[in-house]
Amino acid sequence: MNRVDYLLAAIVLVVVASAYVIFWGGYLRGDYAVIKVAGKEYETVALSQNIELKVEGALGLSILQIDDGRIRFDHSPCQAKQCIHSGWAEKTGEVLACLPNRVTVAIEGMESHFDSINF
Amino acid sequence: MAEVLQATRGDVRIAWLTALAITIHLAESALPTILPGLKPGLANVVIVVALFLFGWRTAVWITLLRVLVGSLLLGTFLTPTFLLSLAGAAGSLLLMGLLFILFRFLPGKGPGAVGYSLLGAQGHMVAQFMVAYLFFIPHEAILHLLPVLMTAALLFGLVTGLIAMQVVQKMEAQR
Repeated sequence: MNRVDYLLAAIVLVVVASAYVIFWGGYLRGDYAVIKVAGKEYETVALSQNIELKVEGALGLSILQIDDGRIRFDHSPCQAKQCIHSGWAEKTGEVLACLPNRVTVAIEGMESHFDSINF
Repeated sequence: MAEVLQATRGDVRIAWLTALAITIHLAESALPTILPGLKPGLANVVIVVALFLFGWRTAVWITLLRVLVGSLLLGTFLTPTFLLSLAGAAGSLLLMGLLFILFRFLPGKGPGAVGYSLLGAQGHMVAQFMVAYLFFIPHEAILHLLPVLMTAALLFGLVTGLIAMQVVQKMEAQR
């Protein structure tokens, strides 16, 4: 390996490190949650409130809890309770889903997490 | 008069090296992976060595033939896998080609096999990821995977480059 190799290795290392900063750092919290039942839009709620939300799904009532800018499944009629175990969602782009009850919750924001993406 | 196409020495060389690259590619595809698309890419050893000893044109031929024939043998021709494979190949060839051309005009010794391999691996991963993001999973959440995949590309690129460096040294000593 010569000097140019080490230089290239350093450049690649910096690029990879900055990828972590760009794609992992500085998460923006989402502003609202889009709730869908069976693929159809059910309700869009702001995350800036503390409420419980009842959503009628395919199996029964899913109860969503919104608290301090985040949202989670609190009660669900499904068997595995995967949706409850996935916990809180707060970042733009995060998705919670209860497949048996066909309820999905997608976090969206006014501002996107990324300023711009060019390809 | 019918013209007879004569295979030049260069053609035969490309054929040999392509066969070698395909063999490695097939052997590697039998290995289990943690994440789809995450492979060491050992076939790139052949391509980096070819780039080094015989130039960029030879490397391009070997890569494209490897992608094409490899996909035919694995039954992934024209499937999403093929598209990803092609995108990765194009990305790595592009970066390695730019590097190759750049150091033709610069004085001094250019990068060694490791430098080419590191850059090629990143080009491969990023191009592949862009295609996956644009055509298959256009969701912001998968962008979080990119740094991890780039780290993997860094490691695999380093390993591939070190192997290629050994091969180049041995082959140059034999000349």
